[in-house]
Amino acid sequence: MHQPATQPRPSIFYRYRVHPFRRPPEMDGAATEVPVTVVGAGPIGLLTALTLARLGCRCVLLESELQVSQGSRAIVLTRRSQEILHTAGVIAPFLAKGLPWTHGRSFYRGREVYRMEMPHDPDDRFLPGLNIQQQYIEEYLVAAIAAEPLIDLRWGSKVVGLAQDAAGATLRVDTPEGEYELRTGWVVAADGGRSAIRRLLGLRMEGRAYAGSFVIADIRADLGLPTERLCFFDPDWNPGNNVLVHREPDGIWRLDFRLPDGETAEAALEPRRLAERIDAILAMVGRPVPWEMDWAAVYSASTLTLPDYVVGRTCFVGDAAHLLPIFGVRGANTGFQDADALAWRLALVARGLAPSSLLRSYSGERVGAAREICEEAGRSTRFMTPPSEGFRLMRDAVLSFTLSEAFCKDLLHWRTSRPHTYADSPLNSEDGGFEGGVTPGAPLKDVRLGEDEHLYDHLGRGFQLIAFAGPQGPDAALEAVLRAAAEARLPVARLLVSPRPLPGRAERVVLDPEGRIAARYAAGPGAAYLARPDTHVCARWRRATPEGLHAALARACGEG
Amino acid sequence: MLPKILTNAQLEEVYDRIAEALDAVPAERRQLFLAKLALALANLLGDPAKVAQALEAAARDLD
Ligand SMILES: Cc1cc2nc3c(=O)[nH]c(=O)nc-3n(C[C@H](O)[C@H](O)[C@H](O)COP(=O)(O)OP(=O)(O)OC[C@H]3O[C@@H](n4cnc5c(N)ncnc54)[C@H](O)[C@@H]3O)c2cc1C
Repeated sequence: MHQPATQPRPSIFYRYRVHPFRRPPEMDGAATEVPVTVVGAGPIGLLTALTLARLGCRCVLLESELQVSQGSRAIVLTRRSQEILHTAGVIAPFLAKGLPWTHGRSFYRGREVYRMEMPHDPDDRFLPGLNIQQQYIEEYLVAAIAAEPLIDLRWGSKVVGLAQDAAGATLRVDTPEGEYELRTGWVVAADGGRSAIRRLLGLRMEGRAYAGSFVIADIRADLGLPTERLCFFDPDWNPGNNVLVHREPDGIWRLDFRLPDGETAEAALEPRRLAERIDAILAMVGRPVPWEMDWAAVYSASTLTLPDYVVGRTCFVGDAAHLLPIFGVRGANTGFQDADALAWRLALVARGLAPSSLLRSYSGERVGAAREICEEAGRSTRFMTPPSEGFRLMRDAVLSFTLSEAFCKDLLHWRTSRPHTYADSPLNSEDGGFEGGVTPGAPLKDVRLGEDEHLYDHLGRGFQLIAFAGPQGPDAALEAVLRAAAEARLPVARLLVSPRPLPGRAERVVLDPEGRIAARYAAGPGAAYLARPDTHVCARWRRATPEGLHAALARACGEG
Repeated sequence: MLPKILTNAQLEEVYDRIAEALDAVPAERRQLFLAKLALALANLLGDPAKVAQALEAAARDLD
């Protein structure tokens, strides 16, 4: 019998709520079949369930624990993650709680040797980084799910068995009141780095694990420092290793440092030793103040991914699909993009609106993204935790040069998690001769329209047609395209960008008097963009036609 | 200050290549290997004044 902890987890800043286990109808003989079952209510499973529901797909969400994440774990949301949460309609509490930031500074031998500016465009709504603890990320998503009738979130429900067949899967679920079986059309494995589903299916990840271990410790202290990422290479108290400092909400600071080679996790977490090192870090940042410990853990870096994210009726997302180094904030941010890429496809497939082959392109796009990240993050990891003498010598050479030379400073900046462009996706249609704008496969670019108004605010659910009208309004050809979108078999939200007000239209009209949207999209009158429900562009035309739209929609649903 | 000539991507690739080459050489032969590498690069550079500039930059901040 599964017995999840019923005492709130300890924390000095976060009040854990213990959710009740509720006996599901299947335990009393009801023979239901759910279209989709999401396993694991971490950030990625929660967002997947929410997005499925927003697209009209009912799901059960099984979570083995009764409360949210132990410890703050993933603490940085990238701009893309913020955009994804915004289109899911849940960003408000994140912005109210989180701490936005744009740059980091790196120090060596007591000198600032590198300043990392994360790219920011004035047209973007969100700053490049938003620091917020994983407990809050999960809490806010759980709150949104509570208001969503299509999701049945079951706490204290641990998946212990999985049998797949051609029509679906049967899950064995262990609970505080015993086991039951759940029949489902599709399974989403969002059960984290130690995925039980990965194990049950006998799947192995590919890639490598790195030897260096890191401690992360969250403390409460009054440091009075701004929100930025600080990185110290080779400090006196920890020769050859590095230290990262991040600010979190609620007066919490994340300290992250590499352990001397050969030191065990137990030794590193021994309270007296840990306290000495925290004191050394605070002295190093010039703030030797009293502090209180919230949570500490040891982790190591891997660049591992499953070679295929769809296995039979099971789709993998987040840490269950890949384990990535957290340098460059890849953990949860990569997973959010997985959830976003999977949920719309699975919603269409589960609702019978698209063939199940559509899911192949999910795997293709996201395994490709993960492999790219493994390659990039592998470089950062080899810099932060040199795996051999050769890499250590090269790292030391670069650091030494940074004190007097600029040519290799950029090696101190590990590339940060960014939105992926699915340029080679089979869902993309031909690209209609644009100069600039947003290429097929890339996410829609945001455009600032007013003080608190952006293009993304106007996006609807489902596919998105953005049509560009001239000063006289849409011409007959564009009218035909808008009509075709309204009558399409699949939901297509229509946005009409117009230089002048167009009262009484059925579409949502966005005013663009200065042509700023048109310029950013390199679009003249009669042009149109089609974006998938995850806001990645899949087709665009300088002169759109109903036939082109139908063909592009079919292709984007895996029918092309 | 040395001019920046390699792109970041090229620099990253060179970084990995040299690190791997260093690892392939036994520890007691690394100095010899690095001296040979410097000489070969100087020859390819074809400009003693630039070599002098590089030597000066490399000699700083060694402790
Ligand atoms: C110690 C630690 C520190 C980290 N620090 C950072 C960081 O600083 N920055 C960063 O970006 N990332 C960090 N990460 C990674 C980040 O937490 C993950 O990338 C992110 O949480 C992935 O989300 P997920 O939803 O895929 O998995 P998880 O958050 O792990 O969620 C998986 C969920 O599935 C549930 N579950 C597991 N097995 C079952 C089962 N059999 N049945 C039902 N439910 C199940 C679990 O209880 C859990 O709620 C850290 C991770 C760890 C472990």
